Amino acid sequence: MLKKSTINPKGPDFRKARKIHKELSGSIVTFSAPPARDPFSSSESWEQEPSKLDIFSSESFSPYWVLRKNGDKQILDGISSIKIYSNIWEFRGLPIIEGYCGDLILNIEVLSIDSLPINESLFDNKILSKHAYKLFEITKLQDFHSGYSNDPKDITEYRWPSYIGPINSQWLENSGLDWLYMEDQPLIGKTHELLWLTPLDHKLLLSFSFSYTRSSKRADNPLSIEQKVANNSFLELASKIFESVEVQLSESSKSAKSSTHHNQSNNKKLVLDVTPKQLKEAEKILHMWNSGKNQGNNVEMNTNSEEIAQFLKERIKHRPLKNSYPVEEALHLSGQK
Amino acid sequence: MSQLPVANQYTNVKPYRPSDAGRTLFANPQNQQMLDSFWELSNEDSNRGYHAKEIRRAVENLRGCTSAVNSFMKDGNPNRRCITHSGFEIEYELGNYYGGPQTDVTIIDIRQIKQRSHHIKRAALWNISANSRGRWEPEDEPMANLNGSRSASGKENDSIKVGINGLSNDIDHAANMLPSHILRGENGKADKLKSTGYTLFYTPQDPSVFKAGWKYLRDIGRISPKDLEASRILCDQMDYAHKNNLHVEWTSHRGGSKVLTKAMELLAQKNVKLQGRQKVFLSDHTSSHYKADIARRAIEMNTQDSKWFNATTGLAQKIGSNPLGSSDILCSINELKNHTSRDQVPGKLVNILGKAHKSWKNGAAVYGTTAGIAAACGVNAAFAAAIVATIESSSKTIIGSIPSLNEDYHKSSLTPLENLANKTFSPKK
Repeated sequence: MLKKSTINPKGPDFRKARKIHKELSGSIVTFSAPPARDPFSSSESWEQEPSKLDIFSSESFSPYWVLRKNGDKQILDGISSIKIYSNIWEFRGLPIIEGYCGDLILNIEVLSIDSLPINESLFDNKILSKHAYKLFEITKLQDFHSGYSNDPKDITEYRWPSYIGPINSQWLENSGLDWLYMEDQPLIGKTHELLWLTPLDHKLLLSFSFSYTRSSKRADNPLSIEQKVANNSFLELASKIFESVEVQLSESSKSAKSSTHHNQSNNKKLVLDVTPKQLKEAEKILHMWNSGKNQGNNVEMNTNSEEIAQFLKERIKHRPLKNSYPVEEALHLSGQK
Repeated sequence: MSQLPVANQYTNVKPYRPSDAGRTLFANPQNQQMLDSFWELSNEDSNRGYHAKEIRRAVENLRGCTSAVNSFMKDGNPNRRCITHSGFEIEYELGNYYGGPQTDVTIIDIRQIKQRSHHIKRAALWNISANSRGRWEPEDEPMANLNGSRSASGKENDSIKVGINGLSNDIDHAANMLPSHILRGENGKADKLKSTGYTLFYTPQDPSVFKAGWKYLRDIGRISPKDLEASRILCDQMDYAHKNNLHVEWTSHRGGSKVLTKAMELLAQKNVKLQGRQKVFLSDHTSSHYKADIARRAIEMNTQDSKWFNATTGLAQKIGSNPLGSSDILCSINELKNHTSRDQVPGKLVNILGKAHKSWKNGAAVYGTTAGIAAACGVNAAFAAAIVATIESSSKTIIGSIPSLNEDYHKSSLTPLENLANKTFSPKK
């Protein structure tokens, strides 16, 4: 789908990556990442997290919150988090003509599912999937933005979902552990997230979230940004960093893990997908945001609904990553719209 | 003379909610109904209600001044006006065709401009918050006026911080660039800004290739229609803040200062005095600090901060804004360096140094010292100094009397000296 006018921005040089070492109450997480390249400010507010953290003390955790489109910061019940590491890298196109084309932000967190009942453990893949998807549902699928209608006298307050997902969800193996992976597709913004999760303890999850945003003066919606700025370099950087990850569970975590499942082959890996109803809605929303006329912009309009349907079909296709397990069972959680 | 079909226009206009004070507003039954619905909506305590309140305020203001700062006139029709606000437009006509007083106002139409952060049509104020990933995001819909600002109350110790963008890809890009300028490099306060958020006055930008600094150089002294519209909307917002006693700090960036300066000038024309409740900071080298300074003092902005613009000077300052007088010189130096034949160089140099001398006398600094200018032109520094000495002394009068040196028309008293320099000295290769 790469047209001639697509910009292929360049990210940081991975050869400059250095090893980052984080100790989490006995479990050790190491990975390589290049130094920060903040496109917006020269203040050094990234990579400031300490390298030793106590993940078993509830004091280190802070409430997990998500910013809603009406400006409210919604705090989620039953889940809290510690930020282990954060960094940002700028992606640039041709100097002067293109300049800033986007950025990739990495946030590594330990999430604590406080509301987990005592007899459940995140080492059980079914439980992990359930909570991961629930979190995705609350943060992404229930994120509504204000829609519009072409009739100027229509004052209905439309609420449209801002994302569909989980996209390309799969299980894969890295550093001897099983990780659950998922992506999302924005329907209004230009920010995508790649998420990798693995359990560290009965209630604790290690989460790698790569959130990349592309930017161009001639593209203001998710469809046109696909045509204007290619995402290859963003995905490459994210996978390079993830492949460098090494996790050594502490003794207590290891014993917690083995006590949960005597027979690992019984630990089914469930994968969630988008529903046809979500797809239909997504088509309509993408169409609305792609066809509005933005003043002064000479964007090529992709208003053909067939092309939009085609784009979504491509997007939700399964693309196995490195060391990915074959999809055993696709699950549709009830209540999924 | 109006463009609407005759049937729609002036049939059955009746006064709308007549009051004792101010002009009478006329509207036809259709528009009366529409106005009534806005009046109803404005009593609601919701997003819609706030926008309706703004419309109501704008309509009521028409009873007072019909040439509000954010009003535009229709081409070829002096009576047809339009109030432009971020969220709506009100088209109205002055002059009453029914023989009433000339200054009655007839409301022709009110059009709502629905904006979303991903569907920007016009300059407006937006609440910006930091998300949990570390990026800044605008809210869905713009606010009607600064009272809708979530980040601060506008009281004296809690002024509303507003960033005004210049060149950016889109509102998302602008929202992320402004915080470091609002913080003025004081990174210790970054966490506080992250928790409160800030307000962005977003002006949609033209997606052409020119980059900040270059584009504004070309446009010095001129303002594009889009930017003028944005300045007028901004001016209206500043006026609203003034009337509601809100304390505001405006920070402009990367070309936003043009809109800010123009807005201040518009306020000055209206003789508004802010009594120190608002402040400006130009984190922006692309426009005239001098002009901005005059404007901000005229409207009584808070001028206590000694540092009210970012110190790095750019090409625009060198060219013509700060300090006065150097534009002439800089252009001349450029001409001297690049467009003068070798044997004319000394003469031109005299000309430049003469101008420089004049502005030196006015106390302004010049681009580089004499040695610097000399080096830039490939001329011996001592030679340049000699010229300066001659300019300062009275010997130029004597030189002016030597016949062979005053053959051509004297553009200035320096011309003879120029001629002498050309004849006598040769430029360093």
